[in-house]
Amino acid sequence: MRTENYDVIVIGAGHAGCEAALAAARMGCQTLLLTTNLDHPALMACNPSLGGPGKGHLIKEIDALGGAMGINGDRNALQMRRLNTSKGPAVQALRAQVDKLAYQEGMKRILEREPLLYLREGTAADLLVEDDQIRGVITRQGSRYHAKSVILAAGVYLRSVIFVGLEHYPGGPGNQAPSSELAENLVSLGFEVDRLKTSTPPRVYKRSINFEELALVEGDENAGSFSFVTEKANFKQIPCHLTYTTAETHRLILDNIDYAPLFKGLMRDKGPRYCPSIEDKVVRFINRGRHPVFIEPESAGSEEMYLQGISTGLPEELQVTFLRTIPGLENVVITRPAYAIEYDYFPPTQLKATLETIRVGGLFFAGQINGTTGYEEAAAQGLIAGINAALHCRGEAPFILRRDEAYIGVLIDDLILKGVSEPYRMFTSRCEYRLLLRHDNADLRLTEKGFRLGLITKERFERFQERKASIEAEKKRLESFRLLPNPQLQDVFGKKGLAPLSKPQSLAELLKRPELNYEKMQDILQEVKGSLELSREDKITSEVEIQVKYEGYIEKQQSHVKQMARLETKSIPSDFDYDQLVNLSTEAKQKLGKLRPQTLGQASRVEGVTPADISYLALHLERSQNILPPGRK
Amino acid sequence: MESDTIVALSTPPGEGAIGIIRMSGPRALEIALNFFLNKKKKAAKLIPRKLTFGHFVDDNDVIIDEILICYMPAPFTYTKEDIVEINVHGGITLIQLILRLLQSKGARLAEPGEFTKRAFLNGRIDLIQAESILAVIQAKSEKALKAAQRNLGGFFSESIRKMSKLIGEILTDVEADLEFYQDDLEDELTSYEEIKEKVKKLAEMIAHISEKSKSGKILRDGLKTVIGGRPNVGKSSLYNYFLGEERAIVSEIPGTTRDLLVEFVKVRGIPIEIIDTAGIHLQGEDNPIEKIGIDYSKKAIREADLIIFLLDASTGITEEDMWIYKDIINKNSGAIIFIANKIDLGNKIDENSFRSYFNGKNYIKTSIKTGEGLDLLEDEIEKLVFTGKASKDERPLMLLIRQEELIQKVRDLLQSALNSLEQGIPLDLISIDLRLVEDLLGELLGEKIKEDVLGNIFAKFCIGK
Repeated sequence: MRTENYDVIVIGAGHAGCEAALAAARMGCQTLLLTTNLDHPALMACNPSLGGPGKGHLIKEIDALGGAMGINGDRNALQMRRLNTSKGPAVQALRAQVDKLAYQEGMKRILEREPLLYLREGTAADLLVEDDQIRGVITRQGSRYHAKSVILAAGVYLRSVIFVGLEHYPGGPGNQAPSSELAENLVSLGFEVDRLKTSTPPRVYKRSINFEELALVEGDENAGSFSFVTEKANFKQIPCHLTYTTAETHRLILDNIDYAPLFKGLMRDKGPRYCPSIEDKVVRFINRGRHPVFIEPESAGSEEMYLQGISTGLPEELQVTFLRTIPGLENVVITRPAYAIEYDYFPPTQLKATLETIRVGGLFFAGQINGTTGYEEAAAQGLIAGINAALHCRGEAPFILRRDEAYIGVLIDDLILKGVSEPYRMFTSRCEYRLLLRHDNADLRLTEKGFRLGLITKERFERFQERKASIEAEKKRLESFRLLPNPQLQDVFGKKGLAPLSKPQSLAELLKRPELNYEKMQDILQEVKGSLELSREDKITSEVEIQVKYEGYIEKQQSHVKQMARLETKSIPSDFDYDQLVNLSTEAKQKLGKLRPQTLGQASRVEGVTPADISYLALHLERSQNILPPGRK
Repeated sequence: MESDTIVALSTPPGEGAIGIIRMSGPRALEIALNFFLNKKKKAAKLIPRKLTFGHFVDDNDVIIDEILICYMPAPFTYTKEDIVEINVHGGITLIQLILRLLQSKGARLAEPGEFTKRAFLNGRIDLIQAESILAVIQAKSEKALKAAQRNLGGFFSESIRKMSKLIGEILTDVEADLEFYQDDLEDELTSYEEIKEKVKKLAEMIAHISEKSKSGKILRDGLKTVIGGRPNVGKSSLYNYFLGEERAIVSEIPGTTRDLLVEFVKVRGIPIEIIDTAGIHLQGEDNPIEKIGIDYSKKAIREADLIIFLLDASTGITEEDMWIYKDIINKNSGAIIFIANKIDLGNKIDENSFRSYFNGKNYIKTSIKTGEGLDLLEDEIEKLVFTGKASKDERPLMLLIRQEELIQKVRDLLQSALNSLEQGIPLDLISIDLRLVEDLLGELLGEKIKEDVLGNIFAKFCIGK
């Protein structure tokens, strides 16, 4: 039998697999992307949208590191909104309605154009492992592929079971076949496995909906775009619609709760709390009169509509009945019934920060098999796994993002140290340095790293440096130009309803006034003689405004990062014997011994490890380093 | 690495009837048994937690002392390690000999506070309890001891825990607001105003703890009290009264006291660092020697926690008194007690003009010579120590420097959060200060108190989108 040789093999062409394969190939690795069905790369199996707080941040970071999700999302957006504009700069984010079919097409084209990337249909069945090192993959079809690194991004397809009402059968999203042999193979290799569940709402015919009475949810014309590369998003925005469940809906659901697989005890209760099924919402929040239902297009050219907020495990005929109690859906006709799905995942505490498994060298896990949910979370992991798989092939130092550098860093740090008890979704509140990790400065934070990895083209990097220089120059101008409290100026201030200037002030100081923003300041300056012309480029001014206006808070977060750096840089040997530390709590010994944190900072975030454990560990590490004989480290 | 075994005399050093020697660590029992023979002068086992009579012998089985010995196996001990306690007869030489013998078999002399440090490192007590125990050891007076003991009972921990619970609630509201859209949650979200009110409440709680911590500091370090006033009003007499002896030379001649006299005394159990000063007077500025004394006095007054300002009732208020008050005494931010002394020689002070001269203050009439009014003075000192307005049973707090710093930081952060809330600054920025407050409260308790904010949000709000 002929064996093909690659540097990197990626199993699965979902959102994680696509980013992983692209990154590895762009970093010069001969890369094979194995998937059971080549028609649906980057399938959006649930909602037809990208972004939102936390998730939108991830997309911007993926883009700054050369990933495809941002560009492909911009190209195929049906609507773009800038969320939380009334809140502060840290939680603002983009959210797009996306044409699901066009997104797949677009991703396929991006994959096909990558010179070192080879797409191949095939279902991975066994991993080849020798001496705790990955050697390659054998498919169900009997083919053998050898590689130095393998990235497993199989999504929810491992031993997945679909539930509709009390009926259930083996199956995966998009009606693609699940795999049980690969899951069994992983268990036989010693990997710990567990189950999670999630559910998806029904899709319905557009023509069966009465939109007349429903509220519109419109996009924002100048929302911006996910990718640095996108010049100006030029598309006709399509509105979504909003309706609500009724008391009758709730009564019907409560009366038939025994037909829901979760409540019947057929499924294990490990669904996501932030994305509960409608029966969950009705039972837990019994006093709420109504729940919102957003009606979103699946694709511009399709009749199918997605009903956001109303996922369910109830049987099909009940789905139709309760949907018809909702205003606008009185005559609704279903195209695809809702279903719940239960699947294998591998607790991510078995991974290093590179997403390489602790157990098998060269084997990486990315995406939903790590217990996450969401296209963005998957893509972010795929990108990091792809980068590190490539670095592994080259024998180079790993690429790890810290919690103060990126949401991606927070995501992976949380996964490997805390594990998951429900599908993990990114939220801005998971991130302690939220103001430093804004969605609008993702390029400033990460482009240079992407360029050094070879994931950002020279041309883009030069454009990026221009933007960075313009921001710095504009800031300097604001800091050096001073306004004097002369009568003419006070007059202008008075006319604009502003408190008079009490002493000479730079424009930067003036901008810190809560009532002022860039636009208003430009307004004022126009009326002041001999004043300077400020930049009008939104991409520059919005960043300068945030940096200047919130300087105090930004510095506060930066100094906190510095304080914590001491713990983050203190490394723990990978073969450290925790059992020898008699004064360490048993729980700490067990957890640290299993998770193998690489730094004291990581150790301090492990659940059940107390500050006393950390000071004891720190003391011990210091002492043992001091008594090592010279020349040994 | 194994932890080593430490040993120390745990009763106060000196000639007591008995002394207790305590050993903690994995080898405690083994080391002790090297030196133990039972009643029948045979090597014997010890029953855990039973006091056993026997003999402490040296390497040649020569009896050193009759002892009671008790073995407490880990982990149910103070340090969570094996502990052996040996009751020996008092006497410095004997105890030192026994300690030396125990060291010869591998025990190490403990550093001050090391047993407590181990109790903390082994998770037996939290940081606040550990620091309170250290405070007990260092407490200079009975009152301080009581305050420290109250901490052990967790009074302080309890206040901080209450605060951490409230900050958890606030963060849940703040994060829910930031993370989700109003149209999804409808009107369930807590308003900006309500969040401001809750932060205000938190700021009041920390201010309360912080006020109390001041009395803790005084109980620990002593209240720096300066006796000041113009010459020959009876400062040195008052000083001697506090000391209970003739320490300062008292004479009719103004300027008898030239340098500062400093002593530590207790008034109603409160440790006080009492300072007698040279009398301050206008002409004194001209005499170079007197001037040095007066400068010392001024400096002491500037640094005092409390100034006892003496006036002479028999002469009434003079220009010099006014000058001293305005130029020196009133420039100190500490508390002032006004004393009209020599009341036995008559009172020429007019109540109304006193109040108008001294910002409406009251004074205490005393005669140090007859002892009249000195009780009232002590009352006043005690009242001031226990936070000024507070009565005697107000609970003072023992806070070591670290705790005080942390509390101050929490106070500053909450103030900054409140200021920002007043200006309508967005919540994602406010949350930066509030999250730091949560961290610091955890640090004060010496444990992680990170609330599962997201978990709380999911429990409280119906999140769907």
